[in-house]
Amino acid sequence: MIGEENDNRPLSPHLTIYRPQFTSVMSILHRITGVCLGVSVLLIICWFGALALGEVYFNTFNILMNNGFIKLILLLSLWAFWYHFFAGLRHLIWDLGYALEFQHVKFSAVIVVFLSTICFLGTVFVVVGIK
Amino acid sequence: MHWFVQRVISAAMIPLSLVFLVPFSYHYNFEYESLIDLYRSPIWSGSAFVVLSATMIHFRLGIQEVIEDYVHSSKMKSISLIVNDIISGGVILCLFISVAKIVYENNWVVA
Repeated sequence: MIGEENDNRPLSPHLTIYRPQFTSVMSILHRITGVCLGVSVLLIICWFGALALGEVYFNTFNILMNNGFIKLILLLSLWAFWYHFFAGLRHLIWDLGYALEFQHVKFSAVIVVFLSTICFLGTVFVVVGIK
Repeated sequence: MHWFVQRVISAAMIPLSLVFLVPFSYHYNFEYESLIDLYRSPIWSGSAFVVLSATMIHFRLGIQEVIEDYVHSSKMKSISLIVNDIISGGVILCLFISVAKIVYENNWVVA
């Protein structure tokens, strides 16, 4: 529990000195996309907040959301969503005890990258196609 | 407990996030009236609330793991964990108030 552990426990691998491998990059990307997706969820929640505050607030918020930088963030979050989705699925499969051998881990990593790219491009085309 | 809850919510997030990815990307750029028309229905806004608060809980648990891994001083760790709880709880509360306001004002209050 909090406070009971001493301060000398082993530290997580230091990203700056740990030699990047395919699987370790996959792992840290899962975490990074997770944290970044939190920001996009907050954006969606703010969107509801603006909707609740009324039309004037909502229109102002919409102008903000149509800013090129925010649009880029939303586009990247779409990729991050699919990556986190499939990498999370991979984690759940591991938790069930499957596909833990080294060659399976490498193979599933390739699958995750492949599927997330396909789904990302697919949703971009669908969303752009609707507009 | 943390481990178990995180797995359950993760599994639940699979259908929830997929179902809601569609409206959230589709409604982007919608006009105010059409959105209000949609989200004044308690079913729509209720399910949006469930999905978004489940996501916030998932996010809170994930951030907790990150804090436990990267914040090494135990005092700072306790503080960050409490801040994490306050922020995620506050966000869910704000979301609830927003959703409730949208549903209430557009169904029962005649302007």
